[in-house]
Amino acid sequence: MNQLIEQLKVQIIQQLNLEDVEPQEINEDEVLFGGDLGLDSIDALELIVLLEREYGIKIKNQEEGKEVFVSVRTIAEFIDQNS
Amino acid sequence: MFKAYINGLACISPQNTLDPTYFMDEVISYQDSNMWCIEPKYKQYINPRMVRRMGRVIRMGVTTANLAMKEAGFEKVDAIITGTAMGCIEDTEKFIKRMIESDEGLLTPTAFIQSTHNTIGGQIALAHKNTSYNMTYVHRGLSFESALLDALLKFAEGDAKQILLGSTDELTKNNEAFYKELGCARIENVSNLDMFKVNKQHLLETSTKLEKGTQFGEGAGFFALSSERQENSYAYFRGVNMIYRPKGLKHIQEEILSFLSRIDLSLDEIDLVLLGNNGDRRFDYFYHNLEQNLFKNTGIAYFKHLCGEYSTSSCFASWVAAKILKNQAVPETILASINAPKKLNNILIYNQYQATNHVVIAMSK
Amino acid sequence: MVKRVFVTGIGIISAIGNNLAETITYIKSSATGVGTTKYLDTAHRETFPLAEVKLTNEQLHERIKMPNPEVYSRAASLGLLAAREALASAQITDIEAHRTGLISATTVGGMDRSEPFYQNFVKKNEMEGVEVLLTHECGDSTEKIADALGIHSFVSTISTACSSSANSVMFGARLIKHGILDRAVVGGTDALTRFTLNGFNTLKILDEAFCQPFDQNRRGLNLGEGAAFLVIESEDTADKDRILAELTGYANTNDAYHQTASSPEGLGAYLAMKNALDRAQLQPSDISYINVHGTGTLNNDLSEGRAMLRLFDGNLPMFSSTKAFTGHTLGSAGSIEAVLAVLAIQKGWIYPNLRFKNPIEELAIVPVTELKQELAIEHVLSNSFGFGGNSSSLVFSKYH
Repeated sequence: MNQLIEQLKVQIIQQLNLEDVEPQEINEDEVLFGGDLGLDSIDALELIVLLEREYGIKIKNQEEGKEVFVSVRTIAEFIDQNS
Repeated sequence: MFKAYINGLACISPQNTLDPTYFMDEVISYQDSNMWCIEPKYKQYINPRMVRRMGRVIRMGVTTANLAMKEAGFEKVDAIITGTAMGCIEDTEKFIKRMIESDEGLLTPTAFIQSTHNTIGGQIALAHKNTSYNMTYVHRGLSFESALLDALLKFAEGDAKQILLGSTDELTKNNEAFYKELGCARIENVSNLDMFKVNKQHLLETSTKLEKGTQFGEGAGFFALSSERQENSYAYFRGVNMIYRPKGLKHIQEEILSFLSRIDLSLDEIDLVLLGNNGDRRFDYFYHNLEQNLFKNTGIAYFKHLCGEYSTSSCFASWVAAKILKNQAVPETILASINAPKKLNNILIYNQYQATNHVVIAMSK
Repeated sequence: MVKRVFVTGIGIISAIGNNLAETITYIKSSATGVGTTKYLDTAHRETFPLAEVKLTNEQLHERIKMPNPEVYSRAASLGLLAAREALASAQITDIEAHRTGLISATTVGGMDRSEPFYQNFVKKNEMEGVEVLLTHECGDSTEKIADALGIHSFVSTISTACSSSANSVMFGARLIKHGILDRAVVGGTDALTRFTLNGFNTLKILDEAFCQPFDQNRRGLNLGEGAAFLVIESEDTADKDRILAELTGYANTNDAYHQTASSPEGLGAYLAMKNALDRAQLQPSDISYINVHGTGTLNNDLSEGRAMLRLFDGNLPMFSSTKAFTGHTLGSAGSIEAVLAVLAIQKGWIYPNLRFKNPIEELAIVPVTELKQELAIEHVLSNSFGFGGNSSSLVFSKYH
């Protein structure tokens, strides 16, 4: 799980073009949206593509997306359960 | 009578124009067929949260808009008016490329969202939480001019006291190749300094060396305008005239004269004309003809050896004109006539794009 | 600055007809233009319905009757047909008789011709046919239309996403009011492209079924294509017997909330509607009908509906979205709906909001669902909002 979390942090930084953010600066339990990272609905769409492309997992709708994209940890858990 | 006072300006170009003290005393030489902008570190000018998604042209546009507002001391503007011929072409190409490579497969939204022509105007509004008038003109060599005309109308309508007016266009690596293939860009390596030679002795020699094709450039520039003169005003835009597909050189001359009379200026009152020669013999005869006839007694300067050829280069020329009127001097690097003008009250810019879009802009002290 | 601006001609081509007469027939039978994708060559053909103009590029090229028709992008061809119809409807034969401008609008311009070039360029690194890129720029379709119509006095092109052609109507009116032009052909044109379809698909706002604007169960929008132009004239030149309507109000604002999403309370939309009414010197209660932006996305309809409730304060006039007929035609949506606004005044019609079943819970407002006829339509408000926060509203009024 920890390995998956670290891998996700790198992928998220790359996918969302979070310049100047280092993987270790992201706390896996920190809220992704509405928090310090300043992510918004476009980022949510980017993350949906990331999960589908890298892990072959499809997010069915916005509601499910909201539950999955709470933090890096919740994304990792979702991947773990669905792969 | 239209008047739009320039109280702040900023320009990113292939020269060091972002430096407020830069007055064209040096011109950087480019050997390549393209002249790329000298870009700053954007995070000092744009909120890092916003900058991460922005393509190059958006960064250039938002930065110059922010700096122009800052210099003018504007907290708020009543209109944001932008001109861009190609819009955000890099993001457009990025999205097309991914779409084709994936055979319309899984795609991310960011490049598509940023590709729309009104992104720059929208991002400026977003950054300043500005809910006022917001327009984007996208007509080739008339994009900046349409935006300028709109700004002048806004002031005349009494709808606005302060306006942000600007233009952006970017080069891409693909475009560089396309322009060469199309014969618009020179294939052989020639320096911009030679191609647009302004050195007085070389003027005649240059005209015989004219070739097909030019050096392409890019740039972003914004002006913070007000309806009333302020203490720190550079100059004011006095009018703009667009000529679409003129019927010949005579028609262009007639249009210029009738434009001058509409804005209450005589030919004698024009102290300097900024011409958009680009070294391409297919188009330079427009400029040479005006220089030798209508403007034979007027001071002449060139500007495209600084910025390269692109659809919204009149925005760069306007930056040059405003700087000249403020400093009351014409830099040697751009002066083409034998003698420098004795006074600098009124400047005329004449520019054309692909022989179809011709424009005249008047600026006064 | 006090000059009145009149509409004297209209022309339209969209999924509900290749001209005005066909459009009227479609509307009378409440037939939608949305359907299975037939003309656009896309991998999403089976997934998303589109509102296509029912003509191939070859058929369009035949109809424009120009030398070298193959250099006309789909957008340029559509635009030329609609602009010609507008001039014919205004019975203008001598274009040079007055200072006449063309102000067009588009979002992707000649993209339909660029896509096949890029296909070879990206996959095979081939540059054959690179000259099609000269028709890529938005200004190309405008210049092609201007040249075909013989318009030289003034040309310009606007691109403000889905509000583009409402803004070209506005800019034309202002140029007339200032005396820079006597009359103008104003509108917009956009053709469906793979670029647009795939782009909107990344935003997850496309409906796989036929869209249902302002319905509780709305799922997204259907993309459409088309062109519409209006001839607008100054009171000095307009033949009083040919006036179809008066353009009395217009406004352009920005939502300044998000690059693609509308603010929850629809601030930009509210300000656009309010400022347009102010310019027309009208009260909200004067409006007979609102042709809403109404794309059918979760976000737009809720946001726009809230802005309407705020402005009209419990006294909402009849409203409908005609995008259930035409699809969302992006750069031409504003002018297509402007033509429909003028037609509404002319015919005394209010258009049905097709496929509406249940009101949005948060709003509890119900659009018109059947074609209403023989009404006295005095003032129509037409809304067009877009990416980048661009929000524009126009007011058309019966000529007295």
